[in-house]
Amino acid sequence: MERLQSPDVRGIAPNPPVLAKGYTYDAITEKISDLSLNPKLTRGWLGGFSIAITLAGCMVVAIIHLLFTGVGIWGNNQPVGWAFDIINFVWWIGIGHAGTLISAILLLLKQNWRTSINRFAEAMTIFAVACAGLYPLLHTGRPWLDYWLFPFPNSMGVQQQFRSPLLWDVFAISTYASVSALYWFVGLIPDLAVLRDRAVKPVARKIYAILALGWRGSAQHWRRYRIAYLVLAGLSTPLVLSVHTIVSFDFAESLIPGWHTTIFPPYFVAGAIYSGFAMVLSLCIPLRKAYGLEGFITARHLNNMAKVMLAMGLVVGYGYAMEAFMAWYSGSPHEMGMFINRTTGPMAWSYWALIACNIVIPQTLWLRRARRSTLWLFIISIVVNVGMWLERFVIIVTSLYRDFIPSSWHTYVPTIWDFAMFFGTIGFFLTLFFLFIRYVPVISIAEMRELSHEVEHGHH
Amino acid sequence: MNEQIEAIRPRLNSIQQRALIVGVIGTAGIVAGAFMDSEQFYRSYLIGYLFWIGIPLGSFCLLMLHNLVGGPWGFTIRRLLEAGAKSLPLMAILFIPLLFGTHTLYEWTHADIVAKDEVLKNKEFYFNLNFFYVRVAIYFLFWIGYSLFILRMMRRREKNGESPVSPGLQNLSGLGIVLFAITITLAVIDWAMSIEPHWSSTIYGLILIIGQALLTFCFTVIMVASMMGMAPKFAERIRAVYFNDLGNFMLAFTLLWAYTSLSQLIIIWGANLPEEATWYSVRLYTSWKIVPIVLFAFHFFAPFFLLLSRKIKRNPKFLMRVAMLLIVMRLVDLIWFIEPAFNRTGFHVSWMDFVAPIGIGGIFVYWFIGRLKGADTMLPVNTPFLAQQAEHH
Amino acid sequence: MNENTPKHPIHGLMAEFDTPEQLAAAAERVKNDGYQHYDAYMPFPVEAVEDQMPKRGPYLGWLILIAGLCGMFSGLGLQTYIAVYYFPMNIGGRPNFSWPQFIPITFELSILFAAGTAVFGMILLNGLPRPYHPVFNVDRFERASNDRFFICVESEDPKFDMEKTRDLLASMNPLSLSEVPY
Repeated sequence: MERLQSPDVRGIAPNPPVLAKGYTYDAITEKISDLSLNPKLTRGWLGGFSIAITLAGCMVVAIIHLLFTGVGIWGNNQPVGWAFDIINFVWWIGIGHAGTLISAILLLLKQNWRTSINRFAEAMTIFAVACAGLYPLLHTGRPWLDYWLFPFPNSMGVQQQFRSPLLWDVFAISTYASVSALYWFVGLIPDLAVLRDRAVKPVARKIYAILALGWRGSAQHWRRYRIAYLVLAGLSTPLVLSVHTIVSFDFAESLIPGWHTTIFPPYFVAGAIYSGFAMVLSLCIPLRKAYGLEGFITARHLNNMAKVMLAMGLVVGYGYAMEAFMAWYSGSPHEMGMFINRTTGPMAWSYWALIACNIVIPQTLWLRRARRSTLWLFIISIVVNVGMWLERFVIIVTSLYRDFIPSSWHTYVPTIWDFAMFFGTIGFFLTLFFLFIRYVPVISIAEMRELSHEVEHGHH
Repeated sequence: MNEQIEAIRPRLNSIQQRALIVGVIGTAGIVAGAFMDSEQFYRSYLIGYLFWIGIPLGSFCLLMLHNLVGGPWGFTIRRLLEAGAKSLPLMAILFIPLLFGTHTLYEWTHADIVAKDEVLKNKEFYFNLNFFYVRVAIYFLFWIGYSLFILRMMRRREKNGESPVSPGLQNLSGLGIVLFAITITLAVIDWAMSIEPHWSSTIYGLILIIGQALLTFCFTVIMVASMMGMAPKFAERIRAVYFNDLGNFMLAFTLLWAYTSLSQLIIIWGANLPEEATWYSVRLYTSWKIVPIVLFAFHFFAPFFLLLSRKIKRNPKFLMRVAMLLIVMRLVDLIWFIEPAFNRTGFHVSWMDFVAPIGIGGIFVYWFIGRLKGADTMLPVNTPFLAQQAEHH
Repeated sequence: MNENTPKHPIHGLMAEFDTPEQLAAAAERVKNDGYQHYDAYMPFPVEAVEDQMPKRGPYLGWLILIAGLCGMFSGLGLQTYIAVYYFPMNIGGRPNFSWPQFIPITFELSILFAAGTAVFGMILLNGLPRPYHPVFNVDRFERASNDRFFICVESEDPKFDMEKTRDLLASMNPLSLSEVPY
C-alpha cells in the first residue's frame, strides 16, 4: 500500500494520488454501487432535482409554444438570423466534447487520473448533445419534418446539397450522439453486471440483468472488450475534433466578416474543450462533496483539469489574437470594420466581458494556490462557462447585426422565450444528470478496480 | 549507469566531419547558384531556412512542453532537444543571406508597387524594411535569450540533483510556449506568408508550427535510432516503449498537419473569395497539383497507416524510415508553400530547392553535433525516470 | 455445445482465487496441462490472464477496419451519386464533384460504421446477450463481478476428467472449488 502514490516521472513531490489509500476491490464495489443501489433521498438531491425539473418544465412550455406559434417567438430576425438557438447549440456541443475527450484522449495518453471522472464526463456528453440537438431541430420551424435532413429516396424530386456545412452538421452530430451513447454503454456493461449481482429488489435486478446482456466477466470477453473500447477511444478522438470543426465550418465556410476565417476549426475545438472542462469542474466539485467521493476524485484531478483549462484558454486566446491581427492584415475594410465594431460598437460590452471571463480571470490558474482552492476553481469554472457562452454570442450576434448595407443594420434583443428555452435546457440537462447519479454508477467500478490493482502493484 | 559522451566522441566526430563536408559542398553549390540565378537562390535559401529553423524552435518548444507534461520519452531525447535549442544562434547567423534577398522575395519592398496598391499601402507601417529588420532582431534576441535562460535553469537543477522541474520552471515553460507560439507565428507571417502580401489565412502560423514539431520529432527519432548503434549503454536504456511514444507523437502531429491543412483548404475552397482562392488555384489547378497528391499519399496516408502499427513504432529501424519519409515530405510541403508564389503558371522546381536545404542541413548538423558533444552524459542525470528504471531491474 | 447429449452431467469445475496473479498462474497451469476449453472470470480485465487463454484470432480489429472502409466508400459514394448524377445543383459555380466539400461527411460515416462495428461486433462475437449461462449457477460466482477471480475448466474438453481435473485445480490452493451444474 505504500506504493499507492503512483510513481511520478516528473518527480514533483508530493503529488496527490489518483486514488486515496485503503480501497480494496470490495470497498470500491461497495462504495460506488451503493450510491445507485441504495440511494438515499437526501434533501440536497430532492431540492436540486425539483429546481432542475421545474426549469425543464419551462423548456417544455417554451417548446409547445414554439410549435404552435412558430420561430417568430424568438428574438432573431434579419439580419441576426442566428442567435440564441445557435449560440446555445454550439455552447452545449462544446460542453459535451470534454466528456469524450476525458474518456478517450486521456485513455490513449494513459493518464490514469481519468478513471474517476470519465463515467460522469461521458454522461455529461450525452446529455449535453441531447440539449444541443434540440436547438437546430426546433429552429427548422417544422420539427416534425426534420427527417428531411437525411438523404432518402423520395417523391418530392429534391435531394440534399452536400456542399453545405449545415448538412455536414446533420451527419456529424448524429454520428457523435450515436458513438457517444455506444461508448458510454460499452463502458457501463461490466458495471451493470455488478449492479445485477448486488441488487436486492427483484425489479431492479431484472432491469440491470437485461441491460448487462448477461456479462459474466469472461477473460475471452474482456479481451474483445478491451479491443473494442480502445478502438472506440481511438475513433472518438478524431470524431470529437471533427464535430466541432464542422460546427466551426458552419461559420467559416460563409462569407460573413468575423465568421470566415481559417483559424476557426482549431480555435473552436480548443474552446469546446475549455468550456467542457469548466463544466466538468462545475459538476464534479459539488458532486464529490455531496457524495463523499473525495477519495476517488482527488485534488490531483482538480489540479490537472485546471491546468488543461488554462492551456485551452491560452489556445483560445491565440485564436482571438489571430483574428484581430488578420482583420487588419487582410486589408479588407469589412473585416476591419467588423472588428472595430465588435470592440468599440454598441455591443462592445459583450466582447470585453468575454475577454475578461475567458482570458483575464483564468490566468489566476497559473498559481498553484488557485488550483488547489476548490472554491476558486468552482468560481472560475462558472466564469469560463459564462465566457464561452459570451464567445459564441460575440461571434454570432456581433458579426451579424451590422450587415454589409447600413440600412439593414438592426440590433438584437432576445425575448423571454429565448431565455425560457436556454434556462430550460440547463434544467433538462441537470434533470438527466440528477437521474444519472441516482441510478447509474457515477464512477466506473471495473476501471477503478483496475486502477487500484495498478497502483498497488506499481506498474503502468 | 549512464554512458558518457566521451565514449562515443570518435563516432560523433566522424558524423560531424561528414556533415561538414556535405555542408561545404552544398554551400559551394548554392553560392554558385547565387551567381547563376540570384532570384532562385533566395527562394531556395528561404525554403531551406524555413525547413531547418523548425528543428531548433521545435526542440526548445518540446523541451518546455516536456517540463509541463512529463513522461519518460522526454528524458530519453532531452540531450538532443537541448542541442537543438542551442542551435538557435546558428540559425540567427544563417538568416543573414536572407537580409539581402528581401527585394527579390517580398513584393512589399517595392515602393512603386506599394504606392499603387491600397492594401499594401495600408500595411506599410508594418511591412517596411526597417521595421522588418527590427522584428527579425527581436525574434532572435527573444528566442536565444529565453532558451538560454530556461536551459540554464534546467542544467542547474540537474547539477544540483534537484527534481527536473519546479513550479516556477513549469510556469516559465508555459509562458514560454505562449510567447514562442506568438513569435513563431509572426515570424512565419513575415518570412513566408508575406511573399504573397494580398493573401492571408489565420491558421497559417499554426500549420507551420505543427510542421516544425513534426519535423523535430522525426529528426530526433533518426538521431536516437542512429546513436543507439554507437552507444551500447545508452541503447540499453532506450526501451521499445519510448520509441512507441515517439512514434505516437509523430502520428499525432501527422494527423494535426493533415487536419489543419485540410481545414484551411475546405474553408478557402468553399468560400471561394477571389483574394484567398488564388492561393489554391495556383497550387491545385495548375501542374502544381501533382505536389498535393504526393503530399496526401506520403505526408498523410502512408505514414498514418504505418504509424498505426505497434510493430513499426517499436522498431527503431522501421520508425527511422518513416521519419525520413516525413522529413522529405516536410520539405516538399514547404516547397509547395513557397515556390508557386513565384511560378504561378505551373510546376517549377530548381535544383537549388534541394541543394540549399542540404547545404544548410550539413552546417546545421555539424553545429548540432558540436552542441551535443558539449554535454557530459547521453541521458540527463538525477531524473526520477532513471531511478524508476533502476528499480525495475 | 450439444445440450441433448452432454458427455458429463456438469458444465465444468470452477476454482476461486483471491488475486489476479493467482488466477493467471492457475490459467497458465491449466493451459500447460493441455486443456483447450476453459475460461477465466474476473471483475476487471487482466492482461496476464488473457494471455493464458486458448488463442483466438484478432478477428474484431479486421472487422472494424473493413467496416470503416465501407463507411468511407458509402459516404463518398452517396454524395457523389446524389451531387453528380441524381440531383446536380449549381451552387455558386462550384463543380458538381466538389471533393473538398465531401470530406467531412465521408469522414463521419467512416467513424460511424467503424464504431458501430466495434460495439456490436464485440457484443455478438462474445455471444451476448446471453442471460443464462451455467456459471451463474454457482452461488459464489456472484463475487466474480466484485472481488474474486474464477477459472472454470469445461467438461467439453477432451482432457476433462472429474478426478484429474479436480486434483489439478485443488493443487492450486483455491479459496473454493465447485462443480458447475447445467
